Amino acid sequence: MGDKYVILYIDDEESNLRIFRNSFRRDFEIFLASSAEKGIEILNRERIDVIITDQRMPGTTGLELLKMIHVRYPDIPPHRLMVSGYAAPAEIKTAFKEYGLFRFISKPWEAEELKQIILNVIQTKHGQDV
Amino acid sequence: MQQNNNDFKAEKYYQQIVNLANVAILKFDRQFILTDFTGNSEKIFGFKKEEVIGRSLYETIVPHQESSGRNLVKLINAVIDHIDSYEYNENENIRKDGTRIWMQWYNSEIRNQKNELTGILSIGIDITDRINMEAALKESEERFKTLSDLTFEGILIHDNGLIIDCNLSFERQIGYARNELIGMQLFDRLIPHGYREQMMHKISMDSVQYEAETIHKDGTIIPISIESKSTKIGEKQVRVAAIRNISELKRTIHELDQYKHHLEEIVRQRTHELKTKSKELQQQNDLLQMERNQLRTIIDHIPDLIYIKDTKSRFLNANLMQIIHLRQKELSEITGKTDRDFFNENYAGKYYTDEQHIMSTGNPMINTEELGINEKDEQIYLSSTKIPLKDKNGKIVGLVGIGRDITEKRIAENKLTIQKKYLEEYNLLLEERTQKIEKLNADLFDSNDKLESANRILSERKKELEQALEQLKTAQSQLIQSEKMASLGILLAGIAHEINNPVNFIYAGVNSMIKDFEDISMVIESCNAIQDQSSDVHTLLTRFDALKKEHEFETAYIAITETLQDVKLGATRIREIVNGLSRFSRMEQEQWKSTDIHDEIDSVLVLLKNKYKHHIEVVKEYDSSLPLVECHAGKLNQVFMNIINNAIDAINQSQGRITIKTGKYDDHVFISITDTGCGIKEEEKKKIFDPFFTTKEVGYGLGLGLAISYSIIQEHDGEITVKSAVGKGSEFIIKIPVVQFKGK
Repeated sequence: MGDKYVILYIDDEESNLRIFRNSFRRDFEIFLASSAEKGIEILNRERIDVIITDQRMPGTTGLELLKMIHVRYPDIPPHRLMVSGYAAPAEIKTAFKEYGLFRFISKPWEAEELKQIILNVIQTKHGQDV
Repeated sequence: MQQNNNDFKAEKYYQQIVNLANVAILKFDRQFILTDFTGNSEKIFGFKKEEVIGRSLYETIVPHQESSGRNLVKLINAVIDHIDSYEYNENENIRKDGTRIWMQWYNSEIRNQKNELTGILSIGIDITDRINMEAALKESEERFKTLSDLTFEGILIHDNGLIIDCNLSFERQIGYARNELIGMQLFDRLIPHGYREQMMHKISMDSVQYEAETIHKDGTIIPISIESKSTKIGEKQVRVAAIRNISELKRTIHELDQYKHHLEEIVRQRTHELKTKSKELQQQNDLLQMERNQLRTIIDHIPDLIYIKDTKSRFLNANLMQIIHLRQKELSEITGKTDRDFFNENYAGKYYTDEQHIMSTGNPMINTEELGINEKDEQIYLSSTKIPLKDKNGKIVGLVGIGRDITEKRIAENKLTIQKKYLEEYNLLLEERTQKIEKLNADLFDSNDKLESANRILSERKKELEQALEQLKTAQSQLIQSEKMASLGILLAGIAHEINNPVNFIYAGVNSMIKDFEDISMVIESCNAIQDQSSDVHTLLTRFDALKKEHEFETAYIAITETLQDVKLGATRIREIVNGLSRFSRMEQEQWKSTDIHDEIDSVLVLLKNKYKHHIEVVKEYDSSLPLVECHAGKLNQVFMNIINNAIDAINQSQGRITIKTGKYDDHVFISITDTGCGIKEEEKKKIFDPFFTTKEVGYGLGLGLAISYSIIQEHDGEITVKSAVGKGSEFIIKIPVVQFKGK
């Protein structure tokens, strides 16, 4: 297990969190957070390779979370994905441009496809900053 | 009541009487200042009235001392202080030319309305003649006495007729020198024969007084008075006689008797006359005073302003109204003053110019309008009459003025004029109208036929209109439906996201379960294979456990159990949303139907959930006993959708709360939807139900939502009202009857 990539998935829907873990537990080491704040807590103490976040959440949104990470950990940014049922185009654009978003994935996701994207981001970004 | 001797009637009557009575009438105040000087005062004292008014008694007609030395200052003080004891007094006065005259005065007090003594009214008669007469009498008596005293009394001393001595007076009386007389036989030479016997007899008496005659040296017989008595000169008995030539005396006495008698007669007559006159004067004075008081009372209470001014337009007298008009309380506060002391130059100057013109030309001013200022400083109109006052010589000495406040009359007149003008115009208008109506009437008869044909056209038009109305109704109901669909369109993106989460539960969940199932299947298949290879249970179990570990059997098993729940949750949520959508988008087919209002609201909330779930708390205060309501549910939930959607937009992205409350009131139900949003501006409150009124950005609403809602609630015979406060939020209250009226 020690050599698996570490994924942090943040979504306010408990069902989504559970399904994500059950889908990828075989491939990655997974941390789950039901809010952006809890996600930041985990980031503080764990080494995370990829962050996947929902956009529309009560309190801090996915975009705001990405901004917080960008400000707090400018030197060791984990790779970021966003998964959402719906997001305004402007929000996604900002996330790409400013906060290092790698891909935007619409719900519902296909497990195999999402796994490829995760692996893809890790490989793409590998030479750069890991 | 103060004296007023300047009113017209009283003046005239009074003037006649005082002219006849030849009396002086004057008034002076407590400071001895003359305030009036009428009757024959001017003639008696030689002063003109204007020379003395306002001056002290002591500067004019009263000397400080009488010729006899009596102190008149004390006397006049006593008159003021003790009028009861000085109703009548006599004293010396002084004329302008300095001559002294004696006056008999009748004094009466002048009191003001507060019954305070303000002065003295004195009526005087010139009694100088009488006093002089009395003095003359006294003088003549003294003269008589002096005369008597100074009359030479001849003194003769004799002894039985032989003259011993005589005095110088006797010498003068008898014409002989003393030395001739001494030793002369009295009876032989000096006494006529006729008296000799008598006198011889008399000298024998002790003391005797008698009259006799004597013979002057020149032979004339002189009547004499003799007083003789026997006395001793030394040891000698002699006779001393005092002889008086009484020829002069006898004549004087006779004349004096006559004169005295005459004087007494005159004094008696005069005294009687004076007494009678005084009495008459007193009576007349009382009468006058009474009349004057009556007149004064009347004049004071006439609402007109009445005043008398002198030639310099100074107030001499005025009635109470005028005094009040001048903002004063007492006549004494205005006498001697002019309008300039009370009004500004705009008014006082005009009055002064007018009055000077009246007095210089003698032409009175009759009922002329003047501007004035009343005691409240308001401008008033006065109708003023000012008539010059003349003395008996025809010289103008002042004027009498009467002013009447005609402000109200003027205003009324103005109004009347305007009204009259209106009336005239109205009358004209009426005439025109009457003519027009007559013409119209004629025209009407003509057009009646035309009307009938027009009527036919009208009924045709009415049919057309009814058809148009029907079309309009159809159009409106289409519009309602369109609005509904439009709002649904706007919501659709949100609803899609809301569906995407439960779809993900199912889609990703099923994929996840497939993997889990593969793991579990692998364990089961391996188990089946092992079962075939060996029958040793222990070995089998050990292998089985190893397989389970290898394929994380337990984890997969728990994951499947969990994921099944999530899939079920996703399916339920999708069903709810679809339910809400189908409920919301119901078409016309089902019309009036008993409906659970709460279900309708809930279905709307499901559709809107995506818009509010992250930041708005929805509080439902449903009345659990709310009856089913007869309504058009498809339309009613359109209303709820619009209002709740607006509430969410009003709260915008901040944290907020929407409270939905239902209840029953009589045969109505109400639904109250309260938000904690931005509220509605006062000026926008009236417009919110207008079509195409919106505060939202383009693409977020057509501006038809509330207009359509309003028409839907009207269709339900209900009401929709709004309360709102900017910054605090809004409350929409919908009220609809439980049962619709049968006639629908």
